[in-house]
Amino acid sequence: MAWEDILEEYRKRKETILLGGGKEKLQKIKDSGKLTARERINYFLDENSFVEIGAFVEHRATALGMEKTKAPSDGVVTGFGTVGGRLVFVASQDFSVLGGSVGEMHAAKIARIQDMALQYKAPVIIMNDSGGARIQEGVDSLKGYGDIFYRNVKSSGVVPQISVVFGPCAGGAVYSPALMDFVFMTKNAYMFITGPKVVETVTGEKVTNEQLGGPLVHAEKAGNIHFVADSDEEALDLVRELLSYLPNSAFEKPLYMDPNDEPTRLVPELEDIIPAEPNKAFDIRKVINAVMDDGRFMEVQSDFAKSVVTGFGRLGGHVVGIVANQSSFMAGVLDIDSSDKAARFVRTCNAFNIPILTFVDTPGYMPGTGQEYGGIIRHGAKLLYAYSEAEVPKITLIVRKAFGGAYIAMGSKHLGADLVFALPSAQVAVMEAAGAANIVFKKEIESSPNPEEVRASKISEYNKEFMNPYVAASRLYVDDIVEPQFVRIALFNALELTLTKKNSVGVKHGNIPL
Amino acid sequence: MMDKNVFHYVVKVNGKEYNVDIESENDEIMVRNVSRVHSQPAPAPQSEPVPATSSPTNSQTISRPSEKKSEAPSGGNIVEAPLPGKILRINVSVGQQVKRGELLLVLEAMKMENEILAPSDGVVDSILVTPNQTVNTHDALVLLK
Repeated sequence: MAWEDILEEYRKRKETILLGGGKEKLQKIKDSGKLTARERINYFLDENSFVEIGAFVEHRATALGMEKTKAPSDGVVTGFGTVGGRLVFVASQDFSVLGGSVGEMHAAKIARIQDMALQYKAPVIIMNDSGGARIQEGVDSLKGYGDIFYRNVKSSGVVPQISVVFGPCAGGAVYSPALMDFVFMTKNAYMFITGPKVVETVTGEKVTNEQLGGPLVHAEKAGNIHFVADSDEEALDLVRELLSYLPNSAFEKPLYMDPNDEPTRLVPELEDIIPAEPNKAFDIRKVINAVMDDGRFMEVQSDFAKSVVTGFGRLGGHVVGIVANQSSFMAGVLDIDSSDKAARFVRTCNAFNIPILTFVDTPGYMPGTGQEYGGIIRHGAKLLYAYSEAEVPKITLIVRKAFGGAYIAMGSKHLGADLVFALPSAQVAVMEAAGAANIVFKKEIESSPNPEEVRASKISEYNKEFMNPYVAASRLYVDDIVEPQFVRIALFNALELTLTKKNSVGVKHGNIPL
Repeated sequence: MMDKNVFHYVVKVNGKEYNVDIESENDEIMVRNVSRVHSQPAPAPQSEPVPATSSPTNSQTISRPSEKKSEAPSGGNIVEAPLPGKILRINVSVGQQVKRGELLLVLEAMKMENEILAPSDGVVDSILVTPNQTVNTHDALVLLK
């Protein structure tokens, strides 16, 4: 045997593997505007950085005709490479090979890169495009899913885990994305526990794939995902952008980037953005944009529970996670969903050493039977828990309203905030004036011959005395009251200080979905 | 000659039922009233039997809050109140063309003037509330066509 023959055999095998489910099936994927499994990896990683692992893996199933079925790479491409020069591990399911179905070896390949990511402390990106369990492989397929879930949990809070769903993701398969830190979906993707056919059989309800588990459903209503992309390329661009805000593991700090934007830049525009009247709504994202470096803010879960805004930006080059009440949606209340959203985000930041910047403008927790029956007490408690637990620098700016329990929850001094600032427009109080006056001066109002007059005067008395930042500042609950134009400087100085506090990097906790 | 008829319909949008009264008068059709049908809570699924030790209060009526129910993606044209409050002012009139994100009305709730925006492009078909009216979560405010 000569080298020629040896290489010919090898190249033939390799060529078959690279073709996945065959030219026709790959063409069909391309024709539908999608990228193939290998194209996704090549698009995502730095050029020529991909090192494949397990290309020659084959399944060993024999039941139900599987002994005659070839499945190149067993339907998933796995390996490692770099993004912006930083190590990442990737798995990309190949829909052209048996519909990307998950068999024993397919799962073993994913589990292998999960193990390696933990060992080498680098993010894992799993690209989902799979019809689900490979039924022919029976319980071996279920075992495979279990192995992946187990590693998702063991990696949680240790290395960033990102899932990108490009196609179907149904049944047990949905739980791997659900266990990870960030989930992306493209317009072509859908996710559900049981598909429309089963739903119709069981409940009689008729729905389409999109109505049941399309990206908008998950982004707006269910809150299962964090980002929606129009195309495969856009999704992968967004993942690269997100990675620029995350450290490679809990053992590192996120990447500092020399800012072009002066940390001492004044932001007088905040006076135009924030209405002086507390009952006028505005878009808090404009404040965030004004304060962050280069006006850049990557919003996370922008379509879900919009009364709170979460996302990443940089301040003087340092990565910060931002949590902010949004008065232009549901008055900025904390409800079940916004509490869950903010609590999970705070825990994500804490797990990955990202300082938390909180902008407060909330009238309180949402009242009513809907919220109480849904467990607002239990869900709201998660936010208190998350803020109290977080060891990373916590800096809070009270923009306007900070009432009652919501004041405490939103990164108050009492839950361990390192520094709390307030604008002169801030109102730190137990509750708003009318409600407070009605309770505190109930007897005086009722016993007066002119109850309405007394009520109005008591409300104005309460307003004057309590609806301001000065009472809280007089007790050191607010460290300083700053003019809007100095907000960026104040927050930057606070960040520089608190980044030096003793908060050692390392694994703090897992990042359980909340 | 006056020719006035009132019809009552039950319309289903996004899986929610609404009572709609439509008045027709000399070829003109006007929507007179739209209100949400508050359906009976669904019985508990059989896979989750109510424990025998459950308290005498009907635990089944304490269902999940309505805003947590999953529904079909938007596409319907009834704009609902996102939270309970009072209508402060109405910024559109019947027949007016609106763009997605345009201000329809202002709902005062939680001491905040909440702007209710058009969820999609369309024409204001009818306005179902008046200033100072108190509304509940999910009450229909504006019908867009």
